Amino acid sequence: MRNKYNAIQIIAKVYKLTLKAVPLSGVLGVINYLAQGLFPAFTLLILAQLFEAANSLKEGVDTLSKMVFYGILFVSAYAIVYILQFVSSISINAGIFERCTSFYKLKLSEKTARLPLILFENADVLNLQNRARACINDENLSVIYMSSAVFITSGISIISSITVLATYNTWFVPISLLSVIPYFIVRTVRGKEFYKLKKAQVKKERRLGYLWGLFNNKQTVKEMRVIGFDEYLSSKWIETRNEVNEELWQQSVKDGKSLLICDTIKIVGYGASILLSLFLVMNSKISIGVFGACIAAFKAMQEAAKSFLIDLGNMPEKIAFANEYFEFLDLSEDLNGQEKIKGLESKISLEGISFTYPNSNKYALKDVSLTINKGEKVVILGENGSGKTTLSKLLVGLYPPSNGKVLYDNISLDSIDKNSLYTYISVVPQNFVSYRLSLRENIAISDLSHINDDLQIKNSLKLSGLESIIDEFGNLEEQLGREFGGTELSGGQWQKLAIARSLFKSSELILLDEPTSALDPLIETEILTKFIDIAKEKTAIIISHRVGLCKLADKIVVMRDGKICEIGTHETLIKNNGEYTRLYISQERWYREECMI
Amino acid sequence: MQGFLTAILTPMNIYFTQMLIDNIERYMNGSISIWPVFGLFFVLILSVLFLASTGLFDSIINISLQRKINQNLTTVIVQKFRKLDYCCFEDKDIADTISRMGNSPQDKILNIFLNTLNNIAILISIFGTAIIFVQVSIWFSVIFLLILIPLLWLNFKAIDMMNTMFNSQSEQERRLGYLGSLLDTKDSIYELKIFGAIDYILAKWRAINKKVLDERVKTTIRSQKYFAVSTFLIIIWAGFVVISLIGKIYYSTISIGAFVALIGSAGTIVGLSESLSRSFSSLSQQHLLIKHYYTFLSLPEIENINSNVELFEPHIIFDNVYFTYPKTNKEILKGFSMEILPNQRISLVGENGAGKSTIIKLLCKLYKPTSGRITINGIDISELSAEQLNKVYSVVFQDFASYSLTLRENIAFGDLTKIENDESIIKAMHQGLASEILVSLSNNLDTNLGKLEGDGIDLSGGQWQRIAISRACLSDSSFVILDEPTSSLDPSAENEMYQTFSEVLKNKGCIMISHRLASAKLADKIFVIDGGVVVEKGTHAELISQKGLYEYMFRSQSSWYNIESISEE
Repeated sequence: MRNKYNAIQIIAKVYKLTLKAVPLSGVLGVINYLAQGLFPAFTLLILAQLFEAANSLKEGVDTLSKMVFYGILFVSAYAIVYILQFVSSISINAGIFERCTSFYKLKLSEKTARLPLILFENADVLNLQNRARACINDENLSVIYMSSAVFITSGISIISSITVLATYNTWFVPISLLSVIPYFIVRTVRGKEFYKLKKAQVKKERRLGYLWGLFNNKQTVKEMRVIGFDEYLSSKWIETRNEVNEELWQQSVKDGKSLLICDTIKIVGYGASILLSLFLVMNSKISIGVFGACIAAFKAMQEAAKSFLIDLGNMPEKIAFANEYFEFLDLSEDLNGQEKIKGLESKISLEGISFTYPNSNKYALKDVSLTINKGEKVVILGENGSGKTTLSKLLVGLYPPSNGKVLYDNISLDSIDKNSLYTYISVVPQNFVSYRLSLRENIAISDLSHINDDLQIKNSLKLSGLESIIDEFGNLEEQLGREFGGTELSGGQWQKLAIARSLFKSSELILLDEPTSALDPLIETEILTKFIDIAKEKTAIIISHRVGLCKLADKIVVMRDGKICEIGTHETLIKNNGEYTRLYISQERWYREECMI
Repeated sequence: MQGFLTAILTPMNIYFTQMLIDNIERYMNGSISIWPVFGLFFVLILSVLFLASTGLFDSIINISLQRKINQNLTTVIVQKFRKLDYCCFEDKDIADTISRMGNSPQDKILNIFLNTLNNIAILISIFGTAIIFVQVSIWFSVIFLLILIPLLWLNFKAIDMMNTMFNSQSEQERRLGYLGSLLDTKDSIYELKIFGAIDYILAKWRAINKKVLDERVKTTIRSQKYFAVSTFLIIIWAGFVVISLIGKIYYSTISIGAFVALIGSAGTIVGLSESLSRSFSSLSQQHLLIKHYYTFLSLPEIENINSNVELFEPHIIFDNVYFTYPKTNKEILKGFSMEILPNQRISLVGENGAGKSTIIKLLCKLYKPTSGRITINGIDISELSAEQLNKVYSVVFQDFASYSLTLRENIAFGDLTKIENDESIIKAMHQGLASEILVSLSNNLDTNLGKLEGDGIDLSGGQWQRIAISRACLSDSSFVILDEPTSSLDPSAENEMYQTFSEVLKNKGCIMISHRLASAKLADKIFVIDGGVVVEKGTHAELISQKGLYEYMFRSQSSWYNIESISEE
């Protein structure tokens, strides 16, 4: 997979974002590293003077005050650098790592929320999202920022040290370079190999993550234990883990060997530099003091080169991850029309709607045309896979049709500002959310402007059969869901809550998708009956399997294989003896007394 | 190991350097020949070379150590997960520990181990280097070592502070994770978009995040003060050293070699102690993990039972069972009694929250009854092993899981001995009405399902349900337990499914929970549960004639349909 942005672009982007999020920390971090970079060269100079002065004592020169001066300068240099480091390490940790990571996470979430819903059906997008999230969780962007700073620092450190050394003798330059170049080569080559390996292992790592997840999720753990396949899964996990480790092990051994060669060369270089300095000292080209300083400087330079190269080696991987993050941020967002509507005046029309899911060549909906008049109660009926839920998503504009148009009062949905439309719509989806928040929030999340309307909240609870909950909890601030120490509700109670939520919002159009699947017959009857009553003024669209409900509908839309095959009322469709009748009889027969197995 | 060698060799290196410089000086003065100089030079180089070569061995040893520890740790953790008592997964207090163990902790634990070793090596280095100062004045070394103690103490205090803070923030972190997940998944975004509530969730996230970060910064600053104090103590010490060294060389009490070497080491010591502090501070975060690791290992486990009893014609009895979920106050079952004869088909009906799913969970030994017994053929199920229970019943849970593995694996989980037995798998799929799915996947049992692999096919809710049912059909268990098995199926599929059940269940018993009372007609016996006890039991006809709760519920559901065609019954 080719990277969209190259390394320089990524680093530039990271700098831009970091300085936007935490300008102070960002700058402080760089200053700190700059100071650190200059530090070795600086100490080299001070020490050289100090040793020089010490040596001059032999010649009878009184350099006491000079020595004291340089001595104090030496210690002060350390003190200053450490103060700087102290201050900046706090700001680096707090700013560049913590705050930036939160900033990036927020950006990611905000972006996700703005994406067209249809993208969630696309496996590639989901994978990208995963990798973008992994990038943030591993603090890759912060590391890139800091690494590049350290980079620059080591670079400055090396260059400044070499420059100073060169003033003593130009031979130092080639020796220094020669001692670190092999490192450079090996690191780059090994770095690329390592990165290739890691990329190849991404799939295995994801599988590992998935299997691991099965082990600490109560839903799957329960099945594993009771049905008895936990050992199979744990063996699979251990097997894959061992494979991954083996490959890494091989790679590390190779790494170790080449590092040994590098280290040897490094030492040869070190030796050569000492030899050279020895030669210079013995020929009185440099003083003993400088000799001492040189040895120290040389060592420091080699260390700086090493860390420079290690950082360089790590970069490709981080850059690749960062690429995923920025690619994700580049995804095109939901298009929204401009026209604001003020509710439904007369009707919703679907004209020749066709729809295909991404990465699929089968039509999910083909040539669907339908009119829903204001105030109608419509039931969409059909078998699984007939396209009912897909149709509902197109109806409210969350999926774009591949062909055809959706019109609200003859205005095309493309040109409508969907947010204005949503203020008039309420929904109970098939996979409704059970919010691990307070009871109040669980209900009022549908219409937050009325979050403090206790009366309306209690009313909605009553309408969906949850009065007992108010007494049980005593107050609306009660946390729901055991994850955060709250009360756990049963499946049916959560569904009733979802219904209450949809009723809380005063809407003109209400869409219910299998709203009673988890409810028992008594409550189902009660709620559906009440619902039809409450929805008197509203336009209601109910997607259901339960044929029985259709008797109360103004319009039944029967779907099959992505197409509408029948539209009508219960009476007219029964007479047709078509798909509807087939579905009706298959359910109804169970309730006939004489029907036994 | 290299760390330790470095620790010992570093002070030696300084000493050699010192000697080298001294000898150079003497050479320059003409007092000795060149040879001792070169000699020392070679010794110096050799020691460095020696160090480097141990580096290779070391890294290989390190890596193989890593490998071993990795393998061991992961095996330990995975095995523990397998043995964990089920109630741990629903316990909020343990949720933290479990989620941290769930995050591939073995790499982090390994890092802690290596980090600690590294720290010890640094300490030894510091120690060794400090000893060198003895030749100047024993006081330097002594004072330094005395400073070392409060330094270590201060460092630990700082770690402690950070740890306490991290601990207290773990619940907030989980909340943040939850809110983040709401903004990440399509189902919640769908709802939140329509309700216009996305900004609300974002705001909530930001608020908690701000609190967490602010606290963290505050505590970091406070703990850093400890590190700062310790570093400054060292710097002051170094200052004294430098001044006294200058004095000594002025009065010629030490050689220039010693002067150079010791000044250099003073700098080194300051650097080492600073890196020690830094390494300690990163240790603090990781140290918490060790604590969680030990907590995790000490969590309650399920008992390992070795029982060989064969359970022919299993006869299940619930005897006056009471049950409350752990850490809750609500009693779900209040003296529940039920008898299931071998091969009997029973149906459990009742309102939501009446306890039907709980009964299944108890039967599956996920929980233990608070009082009362559950027995199979007279033996308490607490004395039966998981394998034996597997042979008695296979289960399809209400919230069954869909596994992103191959189709073959998904079905064969029901009975892994048949994983290579294509014929049995295909038959089971036929019984579970999943044959169409197989056809749509070109009859390839090894197709990847779910969105994990790039070529994975995701199925619809109803299709997954059929797979779950096929899974149960594959096993040879005596009973099949079905909890709301047709909730995602449409009418005609449901229809077919009931037909199938009567076929498949011919030689097996069945315990079915369903809201669709129509399914209760399949049962030999129906138990109506209300308020945690059985209130009515009997066949469909008997219960209808009783005109109690069951009849009321049945009438409610059937009233949706036009039964006028059959006239008044």
